[in-house]
Amino acid sequence: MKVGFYAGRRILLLAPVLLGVTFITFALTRIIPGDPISLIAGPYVSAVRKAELRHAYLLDRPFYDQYIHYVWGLLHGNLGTSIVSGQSVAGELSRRFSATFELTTTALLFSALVGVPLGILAALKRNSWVDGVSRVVGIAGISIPVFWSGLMLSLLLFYKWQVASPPFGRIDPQVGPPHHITGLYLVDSVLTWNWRAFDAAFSAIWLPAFVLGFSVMAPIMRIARQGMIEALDAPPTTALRALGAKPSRIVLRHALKNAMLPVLTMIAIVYGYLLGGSVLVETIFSWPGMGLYVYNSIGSSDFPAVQGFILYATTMYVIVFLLLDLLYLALDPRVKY
Amino acid sequence: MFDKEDKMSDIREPASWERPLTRRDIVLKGAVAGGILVAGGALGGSAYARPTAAWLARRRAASATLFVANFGDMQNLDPYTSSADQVTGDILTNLYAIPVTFALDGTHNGARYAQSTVFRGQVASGWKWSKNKREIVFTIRKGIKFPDGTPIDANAVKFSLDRCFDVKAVGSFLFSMVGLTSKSQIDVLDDHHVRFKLPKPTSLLFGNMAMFYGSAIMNPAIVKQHATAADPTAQGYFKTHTAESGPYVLKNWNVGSGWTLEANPDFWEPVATKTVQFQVIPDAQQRELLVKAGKVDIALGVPLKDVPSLKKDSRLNVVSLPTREVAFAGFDVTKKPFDNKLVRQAILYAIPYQTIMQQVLHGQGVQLKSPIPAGTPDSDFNYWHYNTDYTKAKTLLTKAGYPHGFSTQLDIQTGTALDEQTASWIQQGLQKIGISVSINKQPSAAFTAQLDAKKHAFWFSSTSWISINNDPLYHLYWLYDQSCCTYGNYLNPTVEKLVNKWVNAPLNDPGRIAAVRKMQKIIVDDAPWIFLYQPPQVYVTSSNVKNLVFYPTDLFLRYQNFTKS
Repeated sequence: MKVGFYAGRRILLLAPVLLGVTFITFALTRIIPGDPISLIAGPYVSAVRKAELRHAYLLDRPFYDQYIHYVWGLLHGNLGTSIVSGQSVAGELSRRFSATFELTTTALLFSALVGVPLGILAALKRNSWVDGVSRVVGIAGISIPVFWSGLMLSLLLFYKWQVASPPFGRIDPQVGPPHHITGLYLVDSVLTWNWRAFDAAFSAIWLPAFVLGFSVMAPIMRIARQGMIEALDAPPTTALRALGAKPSRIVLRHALKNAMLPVLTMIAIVYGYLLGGSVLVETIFSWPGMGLYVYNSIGSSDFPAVQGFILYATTMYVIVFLLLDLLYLALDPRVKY
Repeated sequence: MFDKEDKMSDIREPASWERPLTRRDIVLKGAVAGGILVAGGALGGSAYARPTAAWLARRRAASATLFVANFGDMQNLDPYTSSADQVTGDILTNLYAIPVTFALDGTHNGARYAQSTVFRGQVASGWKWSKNKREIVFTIRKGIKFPDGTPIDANAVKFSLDRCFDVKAVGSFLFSMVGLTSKSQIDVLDDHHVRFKLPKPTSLLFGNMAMFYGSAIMNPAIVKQHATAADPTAQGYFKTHTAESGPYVLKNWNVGSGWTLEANPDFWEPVATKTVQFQVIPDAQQRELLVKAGKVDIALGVPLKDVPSLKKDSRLNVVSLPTREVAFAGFDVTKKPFDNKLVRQAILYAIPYQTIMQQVLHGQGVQLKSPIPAGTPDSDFNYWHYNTDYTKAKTLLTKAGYPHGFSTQLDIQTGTALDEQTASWIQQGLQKIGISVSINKQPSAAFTAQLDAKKHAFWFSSTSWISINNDPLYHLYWLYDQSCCTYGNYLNPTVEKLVNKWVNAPLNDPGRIAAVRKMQKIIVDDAPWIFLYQPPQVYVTSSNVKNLVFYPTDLFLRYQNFTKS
């Protein structure tokens, strides 16, 4: 019950945070020079017509007026329409969110499932070859830029050896997306028993997820190693050993739980960061996600799109950290809300 | 602490982190990480081994489809309010029929060319000018239909052109240039005849309307269905929807990923390719890999630097054709020091033109030597006298009162390699005569807004301008006469007078030709631009894709022409 209150309070606190964020982004997007109308109207159109267009998009109104109008729309669930593409921002964000969410989650699952055990193993076998390998893998992941590794892997696996599918984005266009339920192709194809789509979606996602996951594996692995070393060297562990507990039980039941706390924080930070979209991986693998969308929108001063994106990213960050805090509650008995 | 541990180790098994690594360790505990790695690999392995065979089978079945790797997604689909960017314009050209379009030419440089000043009827089967050339009557082709079966008749044409005037976008400004300022000047005579009433004879009418934003024929039924009191022209609806009349219909659009065009069964011209599947592939290297691997048939937006190596690939057909696009660096001639003609001329002498043509364009395209590009009638490069000469440049600069040069800023847009490289060569050339240039990169919206407001003092863009009407005076009218587009505030009274006198006169009028030449001489001498180059348009196709037709006016592809063996 108390947890429910806590979570509820945190969600309520989201409202002032988001309001603050909308104000800051609204102000920033208008301070940056740039006029989307010049870009969409083209050169031949007269100044009078451009003024009319500006009026239609309310861009001729004073700042506070535009802002109030925007917030009023938000309260009614209206994120506005992209000035450049004409698509509704909410629709586009939800489509792109599923793309980014699916890629990020797969990448993070990969990097956590490989990184955490590798980090723990490195801690158990300090300064052994396992530790050495994990260190090299970590450094490689962090120091090889993804645009290089992505392109090279594509060149080798798709072009030379033909073991990866072509970089057509989320799914082979010949197969087409599965029936829309959650927007996540892997999940939807399972839910609809569409194995052909699952096959196509999986063969499209594994390489970009690997590239992305590999690039963020290092911090997770290093934190897991560090946390495990600290947990193993801590007095409670020594006491357990003194009491004759089985080593496997010490590691898996006691040390692991303590070592996981900083790992979870790191995973949440990485996740929050990745959910904003990775422009480079998305560009290389034609992934129709958030990163590319916001990058293009900033270039064309597409105000509603940029604002919508930042609002979304903030919400995601807050939600991820709320979940993290709730997980802490479950894992760490010292934490009470 | 350590003592205790040592003693304890006698009575218990050493903890796992204390024992030396054994075979059992590797098998059992190593499995935690190793197992996941292997399982991950196997899972991946089995999954990626399977689709390749399936992919090949599917590809064989779908060989009637043309696959295109495009560099971006479509934007606003309304033919009249579209910004006509390269991606969207290409598609709208294939979705909407227009009354008159460009006639086909022969073969040139390995590609079929379309004419740019000779027209044929598309929705119109013919036309007739009145004796005084102030009226033209278009005959609308009989028996043609929209995909939903409603007839394309004179009323549909009038309805579409009315909408062009109502939305007050580019098309209406092009009509007003030839004297069509109101939709009441266009009337329906009967089901198959539409009349335009012009205040004065003009030679520019067809060139100004032969593109989707000039005269796309839209299905009135669909427009009316989605019109509202607040939005009587249904502009909101058509940003993401279509009302086709052309060779293709938009079958689906997976925003951000791709879209499919399917042949319109009611279209009256031959459509060789029935389905065209577009995929958005933002990375240029990946587009090249896809076309090299045969996964797509056409790659668009291929960087110029890759053309020489792609040309060596026998599986590909690489077409790099000069366009009429004028890439120039502009000066604001009202701002110091660019208000001084000698300074501008000095700068023109200090540009390493040959280096730019070799290093930036890799030997493709054409060096621009006049405000009017090669390929436009009466373009004349003989007035050019600015071959790179640093001594002459230095002398002119000294004469202008800047013996030690000056510092200035060159504004460019971010994200285009061509622009950044060209700017850097301009910078290096000017450094040799003591002018220090800092390159200022701006996001495209900021750059364009500043261009519109005429606030750049010195700027460059490789996509500066392409005149959609291939007429020298149309070109000079916009760039050297109209307030919209004289970005550098260069207004020469003689040029203005001549443009306004001759702009609507027939192309072959000797007086007009003489005027065009005279203006080129004046402008080249006044040096309001650094005349740089006409960049090429590059298309890369698989060698089994035939019948690419190049449309020099708008650079858009007509997919109906393609055949694939």
